[in-house]
Amino acid sequence: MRRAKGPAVGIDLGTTYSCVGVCQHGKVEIIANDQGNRTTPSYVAFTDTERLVGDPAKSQVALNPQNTIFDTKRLIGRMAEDPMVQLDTRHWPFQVVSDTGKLKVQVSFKGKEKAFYPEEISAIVLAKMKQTAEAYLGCPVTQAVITVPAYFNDSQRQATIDAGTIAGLHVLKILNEPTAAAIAYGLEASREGEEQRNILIFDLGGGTFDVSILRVDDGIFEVKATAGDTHLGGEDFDNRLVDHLAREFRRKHKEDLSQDKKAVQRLRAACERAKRTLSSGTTAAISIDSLYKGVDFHTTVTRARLEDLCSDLFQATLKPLGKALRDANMNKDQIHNIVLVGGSTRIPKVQTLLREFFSGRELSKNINPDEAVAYGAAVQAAILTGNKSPGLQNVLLLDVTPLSLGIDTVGGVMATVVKRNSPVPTQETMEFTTAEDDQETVVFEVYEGERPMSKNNHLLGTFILSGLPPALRGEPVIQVSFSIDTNNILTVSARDTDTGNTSQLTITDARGRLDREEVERMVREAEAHRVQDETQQEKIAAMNSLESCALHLKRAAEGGQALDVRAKKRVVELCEEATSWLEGNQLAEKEAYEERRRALEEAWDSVFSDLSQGREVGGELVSGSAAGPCP
Amino acid sequence: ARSGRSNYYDLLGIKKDATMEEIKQAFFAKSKKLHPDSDPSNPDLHSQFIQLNEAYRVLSKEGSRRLYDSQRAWHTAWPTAGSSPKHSPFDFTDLGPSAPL
Repeated sequence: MRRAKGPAVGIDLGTTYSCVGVCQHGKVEIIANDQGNRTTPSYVAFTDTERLVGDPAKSQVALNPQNTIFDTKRLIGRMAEDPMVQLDTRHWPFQVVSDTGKLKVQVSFKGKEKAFYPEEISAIVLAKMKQTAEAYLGCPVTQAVITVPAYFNDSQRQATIDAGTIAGLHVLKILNEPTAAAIAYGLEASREGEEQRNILIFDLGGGTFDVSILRVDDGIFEVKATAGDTHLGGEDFDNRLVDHLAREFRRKHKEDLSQDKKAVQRLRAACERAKRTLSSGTTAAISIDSLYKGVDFHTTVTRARLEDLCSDLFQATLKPLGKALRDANMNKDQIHNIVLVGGSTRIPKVQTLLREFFSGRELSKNINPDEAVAYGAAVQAAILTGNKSPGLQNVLLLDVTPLSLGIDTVGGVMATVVKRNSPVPTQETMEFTTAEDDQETVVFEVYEGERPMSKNNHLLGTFILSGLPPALRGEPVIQVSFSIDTNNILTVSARDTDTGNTSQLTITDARGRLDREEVERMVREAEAHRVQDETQQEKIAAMNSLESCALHLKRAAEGGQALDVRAKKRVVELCEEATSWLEGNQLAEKEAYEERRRALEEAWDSVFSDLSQGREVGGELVSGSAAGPCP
Repeated sequence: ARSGRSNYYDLLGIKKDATMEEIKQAFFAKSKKLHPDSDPSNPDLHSQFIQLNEAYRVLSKEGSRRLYDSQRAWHTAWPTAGSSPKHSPFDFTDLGPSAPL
């Protein structure tokens, strides 16, 4: 293996927001995007002319709901028949279709219908995070650690690796989000005099709520329990506030804005901001000009009001806490650390409820809760690329299998070959035999999960070993080997000890996964898109530049008192012509804009060279020409 | 039937009467050197860690450790017998029943 030059980054690929960080010289930086935001909405939008990612995609969602994709994390690595998918699909404004069992989202892009795999949409978000890091670091970024929820199964993890590959990233490791948060707080090693420590991660994000209990023993993280609510988070609090203010608007102005998508979207954006303000202040002012039918909306929301509107939602976080503790077979006193993750844990009432639940215990919250996961991922990325600062010298995180792995046997019972929480890489072999006399072929169904019956677990793939010689049932010895590499990629092989026949299955090409060619095609498409996006950006820059050049010169010409009247008229005319040409040519090529701009500059220069033959000029004119005519 | 393999105690660098805690500490200490993540440029680490992992898996549980110890004792008593017979009660890999498929 070869080590690439640029630093490796850590990416928290979230349901509603994503975040990227880098660890250099022992210090973690969370990197702001081109809008100056340290988290980027996990939104991708398709329009008639372009593709938008992040903040611009989210801000136009109300105007383009069918073609704005979000919540991809709820789709990735899942099959069409998954009941969770069927429930979610009903609530999304965009269309989800099934392509031979694999899910796709369908949008209209540049006037054509196009369907994308969830991996491709996540890849677009990941590519945005990659670009954000590259802009900050000033060099290409090709390696990353990406985080996933602890309960993600093999297909969801593999699909996340594929998304990284499509985005042009070598995924060094898929890291559990709670583990990343624990690393951010330096909790990877047990303290002196302690056998091990138990950490509870309370992660209340924009769309999901996860409670995880980890046991850490000198660098080995075991997930003891996970619980939560996949549909509880900041967006639900926003919704409550939106409904409340829409009612207030109706009371005050006798108008119902709830059917006006644009008005609701503007109100929602204001509510999200107000909610954030209320985590530090006790009141937030909302002021939206011409919200609906030309009516301005000005109001104030208090923290008490928000808490009242959301009190049942806040209370709902306590039930999963109890469940996680029961599942981990622990009581509250056995938890050494309580770590807050996710922007919604900033809400004072949420913290109060949690502290009360733990009888007044201190909460770990000194790392920004919406950055803690990316922070830990960045630390892990540095460790894996050998950038060990003194503090990290001795840290090795042993990955463990998140779920037990095994095969289906007679009666539908799953025989576990690799137990849950086994350190990886690993290889384990178990012997099996036939169920019938003269059985010629054996079908292996590989499952993951903790339930005794296979059907209650998750099927990863199927393969066949054939050509067994005639024998009584129970006589043949078939060795089944499970190999898991450092990236948790599973290969299962079976060998008939009598004939030496073998057969194997790598779960990378199993059901629900994209095959290698598909991933390669998507990598090429993503690359082409990147070029298109850059072309688009350059075009917009050229267009803006022509527009401001025309405005600037027109103003300069009109203000330049010493200018010859005829020259002045010529420049103003040229500028006006350029402005009206621009209005009718929003889709021209970059070169066309540049050419127009050059023509304007030349016209200006000729006026100025006439002038500079010793005549007085206006101040603005001189400053304009001295700095070059156009900004 | 693991007679050809290296001795699990030697792999972990521990004495035969090591306590469970010592076994765990030895595994963590060795992992830091042998885990493939500790040096991604060394492809040999993968198989070395898998062996270490196997040694730890067997020795870190009372039942499988006892079976492993008795299997070794059997080999010491009958050095010329080669590997233990198929389905020998001493073969720790047979902890689970050989399930029909």
